[in-house]
Amino acid sequence: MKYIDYIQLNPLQRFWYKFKEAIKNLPATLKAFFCAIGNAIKKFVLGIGAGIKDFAVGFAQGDAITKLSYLFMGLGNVTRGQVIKGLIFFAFEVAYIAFMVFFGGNYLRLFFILEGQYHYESVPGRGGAVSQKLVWDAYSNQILIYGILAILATVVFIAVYVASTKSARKCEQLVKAGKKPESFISEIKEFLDSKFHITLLSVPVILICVFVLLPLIFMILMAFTNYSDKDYFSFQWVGMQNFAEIFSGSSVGGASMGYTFGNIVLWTLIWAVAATFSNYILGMVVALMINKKGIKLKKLWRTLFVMTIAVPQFVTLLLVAQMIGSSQDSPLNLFISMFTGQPSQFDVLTQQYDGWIARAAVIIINIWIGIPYTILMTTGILMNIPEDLYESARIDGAGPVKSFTAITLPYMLFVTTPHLITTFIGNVNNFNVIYLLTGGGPNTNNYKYGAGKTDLLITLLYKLSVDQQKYGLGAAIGILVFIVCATLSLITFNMTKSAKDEEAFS
Amino acid sequence: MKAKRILALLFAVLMAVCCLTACGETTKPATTDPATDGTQAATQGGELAFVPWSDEDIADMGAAIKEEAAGNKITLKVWQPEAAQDVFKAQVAKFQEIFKDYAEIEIEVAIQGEGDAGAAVISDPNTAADVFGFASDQIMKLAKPGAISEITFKPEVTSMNSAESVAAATFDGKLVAYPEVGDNSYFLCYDKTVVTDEQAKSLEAIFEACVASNKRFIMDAGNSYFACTFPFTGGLATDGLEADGETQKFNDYDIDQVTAAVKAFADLFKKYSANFESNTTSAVVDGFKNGTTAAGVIGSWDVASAKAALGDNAGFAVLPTIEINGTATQMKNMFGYKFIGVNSQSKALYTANALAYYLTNEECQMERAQKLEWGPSNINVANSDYVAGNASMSAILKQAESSVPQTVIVGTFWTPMDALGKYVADPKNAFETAEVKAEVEKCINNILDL
Amino acid sequence: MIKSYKLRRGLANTFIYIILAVLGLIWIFPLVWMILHSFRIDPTGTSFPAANVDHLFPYWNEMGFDNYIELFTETKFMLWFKNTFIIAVVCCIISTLSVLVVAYAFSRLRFKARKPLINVGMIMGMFPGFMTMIALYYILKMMGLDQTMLGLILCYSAGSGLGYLVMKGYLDTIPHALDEAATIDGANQFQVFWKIILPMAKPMVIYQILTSFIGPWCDFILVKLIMVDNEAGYTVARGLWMWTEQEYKAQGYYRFFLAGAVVVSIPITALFLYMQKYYVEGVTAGGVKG
Repeated sequence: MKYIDYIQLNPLQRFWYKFKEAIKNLPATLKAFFCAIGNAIKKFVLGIGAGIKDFAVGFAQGDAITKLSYLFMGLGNVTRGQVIKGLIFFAFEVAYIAFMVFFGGNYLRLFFILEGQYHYESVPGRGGAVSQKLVWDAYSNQILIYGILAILATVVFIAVYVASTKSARKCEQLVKAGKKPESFISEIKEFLDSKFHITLLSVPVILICVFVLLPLIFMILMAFTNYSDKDYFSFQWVGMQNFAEIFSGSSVGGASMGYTFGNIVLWTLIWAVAATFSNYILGMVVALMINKKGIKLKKLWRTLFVMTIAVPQFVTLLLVAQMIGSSQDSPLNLFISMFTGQPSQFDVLTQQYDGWIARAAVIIINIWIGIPYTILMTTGILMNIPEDLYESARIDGAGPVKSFTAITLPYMLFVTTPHLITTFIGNVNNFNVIYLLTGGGPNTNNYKYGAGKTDLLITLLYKLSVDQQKYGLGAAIGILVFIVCATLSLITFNMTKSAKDEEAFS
Repeated sequence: MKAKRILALLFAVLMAVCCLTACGETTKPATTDPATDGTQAATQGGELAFVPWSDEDIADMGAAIKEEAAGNKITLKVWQPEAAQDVFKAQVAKFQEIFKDYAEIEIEVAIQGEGDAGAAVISDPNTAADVFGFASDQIMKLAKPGAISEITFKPEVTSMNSAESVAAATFDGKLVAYPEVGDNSYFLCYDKTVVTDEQAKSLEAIFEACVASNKRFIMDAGNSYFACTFPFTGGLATDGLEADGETQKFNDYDIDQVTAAVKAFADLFKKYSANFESNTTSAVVDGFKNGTTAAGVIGSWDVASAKAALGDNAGFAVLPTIEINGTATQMKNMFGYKFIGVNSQSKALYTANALAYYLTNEECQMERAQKLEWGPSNINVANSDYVAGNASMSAILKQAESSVPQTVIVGTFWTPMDALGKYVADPKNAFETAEVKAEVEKCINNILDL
Repeated sequence: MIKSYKLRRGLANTFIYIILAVLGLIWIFPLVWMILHSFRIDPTGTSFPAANVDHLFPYWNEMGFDNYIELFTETKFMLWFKNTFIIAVVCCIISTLSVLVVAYAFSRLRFKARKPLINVGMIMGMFPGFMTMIALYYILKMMGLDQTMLGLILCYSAGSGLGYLVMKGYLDTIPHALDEAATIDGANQFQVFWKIILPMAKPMVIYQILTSFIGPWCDFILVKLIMVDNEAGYTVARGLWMWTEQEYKAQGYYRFFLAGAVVVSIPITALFLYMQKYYVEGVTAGGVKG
């Protein structure tokens, strides 16, 4: 489609066009993505090769002190005037060696076996006898996590080591050339100017590495072990076994994981679409109503809705669950029986064997949760829609519904696409609503591992890991969830990039 | 089973005779001091009323504790549920008092529910309590990876506690926990002003009484622990593990009979759906409080609050009968226990064992029976006047005769039962025989993890 | 014609008023129910009130302050409240600083690793968190921080630097000419950041403070794992969540749950309504720019 055709489309068509294009381009995008990864790896490997060459050449050409500083980090710096820098290098080396000797080295060795380590101790037994006690030295999960830590530490150490040798070589060359190596103070000053990004990023990056990256690698590796309630303290590497189980279709009469997984993925997608768009459209309608000319007490109406955001979500959700609970005395049933005169036992959430009622219920309750956010988010943008657009629509004889679908919706979809997609991803991972309302129920024996009809992938993950301690399987599912989310984000990224090139809505 | 009970009873009577004639000098180590019995102990209040072990035993154990302490302070941690904190703190203090001459023992009592104690212990044994209370379904979860191992005082515990509770605390031929409560189960509780004692004997009659009074019968049918009543009534029963050590083993059941039982429950609940509610046991108690509930299935842990709600009108009985294919059949429940486990990674394993042993002895069990309504696993306490005079406890001990003891339960047992219960409790289902049978089969297959 | 138009508009407005009133009622009803029931007591004083009663709202003679008094005197609520407050304050300082710093670096500074870091950060934020909780526990344990407040603070705030996206989008809109002018006037990078960018980004900073302050009040899963049995270290969310468990509900703790929820909601709601303007600016910026 040519640009001239494109600008003649109405906004809704433009949105769909862009959406379709994004989907169409998805294979290409993915290919580009993986190519980029491939190139990055290639560059990385080449870089390492060059680094090794540099490293070796530096060693061969350096003088005795430089050669020695390949063994004692920082020696070259200390002897050539960069005392503090050299000492820092040396301290780093000592710290690393101490870490590996007293802690990391052992775990690094065990990392490849992974089995839990134990020994026996004698303890007093009954009536003066002596009995044996099994003492765990390291559980498998400890070995895994500390092993990763040791590997990360080694990687960091190698980087610093290479930097130190380079620095030693540079000092040598400077001294040979009759110059003075940079003083410590001036190097520090650089960190406030040309290396300011390092100053800014170092602390956050270290925190993220320890508390996000390390656990993340742990999770990914866990997917390749049989870490579960059956082998809690001592487990092994099992390769792709967990992934194979997720897609295992047949089973001898009981529920199969493949069937369960397929259905839960399907429901997760249905849920995410329904939850996203119901909130989006209904929230916008309410926002329009509040903002309509001639409606008074705008602030009051808005506050009424917004109140529910401010109360912690788990409180409101638990409250709602209690209010529509199965009991005859739950507020909803009392309310119904006020009209019918009969005790009511309307039961929407957990006890209902037919899953669709519970599924509808969570979507409706999610509207209650989500509309206030949409109101907050869209009010400002709605005000920006040029009034004359509505004016001319009204002259053309369009009613409120028509002008909503023809003007408001396309405009909003156009402007808030990123919001829609982040909400969509948020809904795929919407743990709170499902877990606190239905706990994934109603359960069914057609599903495996106690999965229920309203379970999302994320709540299934919780059930598998926290409730049933099937960590290996859970981690495998976690990786799949990640792949889905990452793909969706790729589409988003693509769409917003094209959106950036657009002129503003006219 | 019955024979065992009678044997146990005989044994208890023998002990009682022993007590009365005060024939002193027991040769067995670590039996209770015959001069006093639990009831007196509890009435005498705070002071140490009787010593559960003879001086010799204490000296023996003290020596071992002293050896273990090796001059240092021993610190232990106990996990018990919130409601039992005060009682356990007092009992732990008595234990410290007994051994204060041998070692300095510091004991902390922290809050941890019995339902998830097992998960909390295995997630990090080194931080977990040394001595913890847990429900009997977690035996496999804890014992299989070795988070609890064979207990130190096996002969004493075996002789003091009911054979069923000891069997339930045994995994792979080893006694791995100290029986603490002998009646972690559920039974019928009813409002005597609405349901007569006679009516309480059959589920149909209870529902009739409910219809007549426009009140409810509540049972937590969608919860696996209660839902297993349905197939169990039809003759299904668990029977330990298969040879692989991982799969649940069932008895030789008749699938048609099990189906008939499940269908009978489902049909009955459907027929009286206006007067039936599937809700938690605390909703039963709430219902008694509001006067909207006529009868319900409650757990032994709700007895105190049910008594508070109904006062003298509280009626306790074994689960009623239900008509299956025209014959009134006794409902069978899952009969569980509560144990005290000793963390195998405890720094002071012997002392922890001694503490667990102390906390499950006759004196402590009697005190808990009186203060917390926790039914005893100890034979002497079970046969004491106090328990005989306690309506709820005798009801539940009677219930034990028609129940499936909760021996080894695999991790996959609960969720399929949950789903079966939810199926039964939903009146919108048709409950054709073939459909019910398919549900039961699916449930069993899922438990077997086929 | 004009008259009928006016009439029609009046009718439409009335219709809208009715809808808004009904919706407003639905939205506010659970909160009203929560507040009224948090005051409910058993007038006979014999036993604690049930979670539900057979009437929608408590009667006058069933209301009293007992739940609140007991909440503050007989439970650990005050302690939990204090914990949460401290954690929230520290977290919001750490989180806001790290988000600001990361966003500033990505938005204003140009360096070799910039692009890769932006992408890696985006991808890292997408892994589901439950599986990593055990790892977090063992990392804290290695540092001796398990069962401590500091450990919890680190868990909440350490990864917050990854939430730079919205802030970066906002900073991107601040014209570069401003910092260039400042640099010419002799300001160094730090001064540009502190004196120029920070005041301009005030709405987003406040948005960041608000969201990271509210975070610890809402998490009920991680606390149990980090604190294990150390009840004195719980936060309100974990404590309230615990009170809704069967074991506690059976002992009548539901009334404390309600009263506690009201107490927690008051400061947060007040803060939220007061800062609403900034919050709106934040979500709008996030929603439009991505």
